[in-house]
Amino acid sequence: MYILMMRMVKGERRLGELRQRFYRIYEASPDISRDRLVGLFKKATKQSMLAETVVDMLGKHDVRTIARELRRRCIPVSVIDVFNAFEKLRRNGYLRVIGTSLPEKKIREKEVKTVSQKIITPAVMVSPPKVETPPVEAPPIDMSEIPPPTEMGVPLEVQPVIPQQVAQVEVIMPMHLVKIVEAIKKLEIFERYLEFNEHIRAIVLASREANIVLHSVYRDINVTDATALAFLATISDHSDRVSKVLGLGEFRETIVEATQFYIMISRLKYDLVLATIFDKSIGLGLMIRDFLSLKGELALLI
Amino acid sequence: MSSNILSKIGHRKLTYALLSVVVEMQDNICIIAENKDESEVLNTIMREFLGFLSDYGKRFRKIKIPKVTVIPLDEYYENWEKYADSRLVFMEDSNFRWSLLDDFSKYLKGIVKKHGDARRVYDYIAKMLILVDFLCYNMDIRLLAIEPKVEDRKKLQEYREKKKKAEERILSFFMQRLPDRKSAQLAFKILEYIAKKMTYNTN
Repeated sequence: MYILMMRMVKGERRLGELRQRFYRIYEASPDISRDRLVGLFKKATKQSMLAETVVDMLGKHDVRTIARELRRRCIPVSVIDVFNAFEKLRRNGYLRVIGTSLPEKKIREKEVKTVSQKIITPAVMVSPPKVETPPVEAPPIDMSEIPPPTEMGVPLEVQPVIPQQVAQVEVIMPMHLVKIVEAIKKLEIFERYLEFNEHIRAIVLASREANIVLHSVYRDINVTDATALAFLATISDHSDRVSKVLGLGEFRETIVEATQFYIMISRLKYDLVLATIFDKSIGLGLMIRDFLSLKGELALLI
Repeated sequence: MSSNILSKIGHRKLTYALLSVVVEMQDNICIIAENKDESEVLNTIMREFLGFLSDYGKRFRKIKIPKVTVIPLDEYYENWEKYADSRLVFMEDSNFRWSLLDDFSKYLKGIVKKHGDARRVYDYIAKMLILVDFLCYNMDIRLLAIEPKVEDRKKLQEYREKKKKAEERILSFFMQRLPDRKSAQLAFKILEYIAKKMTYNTN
């Protein structure tokens, strides 16, 4: 019991830490000059473009705001990239955490359409339309050719057919998946990516085994959980086969280019499938960076 | 300050906590210890220290004595939004590269070695703070924090010379009232840091 409680406490703490990290406000050491700090950032991030902006914003803004500002200036970084760079310098004593900002209001509800019903019910079979044709007269049967009925030795017992109840399909999510999904929802990871990247149209996390969409967010796109699931199953299956036939090992990631969208699909632990739909107008670098960051964040929870 | 306490928390961490309380000029400070034991020890020390400073409370006119909360890391992460208004002092940041912290750490080490009594340590810190507060109240300390943007090189040179002389006068003020040069230099550094904090917090 004690161990279970400790695990729960640790889980809560971990979630809190994961949530808090992007709201941190870092401050640079007062002994380090601006130029030296810019140099340190260039070294830590391997990106010279962001260093000056970041240094000017240190001590005043949180990680999210800094990342947002960098993206506004067309520097392709995600929040986690900025956080990782800060933590690297913090470990070496160049930065410290001096506070946190309060979380902003949730992403506008109107923009995000979360689908509450995740269970996919079998589609109702539609009977074919009746075709009205004139009745055809049956040919007369020649009764002389039919043999007379033979008598049976043992009378046949009529077995009553007990009508069986049609079992309802109810997919029960395993506990570990429930916890993962709860954590993702609590941390609002999908919502954050949707907010930061206006090119993202949908993010779907599905379990291929159980045939359920675990969590999904959509924006201005005509896709539902059912269609997303069918699509994911098909692509994963094809990718799996191709990987096997060519002896390429296990399928991990696929990028699908359609006329209007890019779709990135990745297989995660526990056979989970993560898919993100991007607008065609997105830069490929930003798309891959954001998708990998998203995947990285989920990997921490899985 | 017994060696038992120092062995539990570490000298650098203790110094970082004490210095943050004194120089950050905030109303609320939340010290986040790495574990429960550390939090309990820090809590005891902070209660003593703040109690001691409150005896001098009326004498501080500019320096803010904050409300301090000490909590372990686990508790903080569970309710971190609650502490969003506070200035956070993470004990894991005690390795921060900060010359003022290095000097303060050496200074406290020397006092602890000499006296070993916590009240004497607090007394030394309080005396130094009273002097710093006196200067904060009676002079325009913004000059210590701001470097004016003067394009004329001669004027800039003149300004720097004047500033240097003023700094020497402040240093001699501290030296007359504090036991040695090192203490005076430390007090001057604290004054400089507080000047920056006051200038940029109000701007």
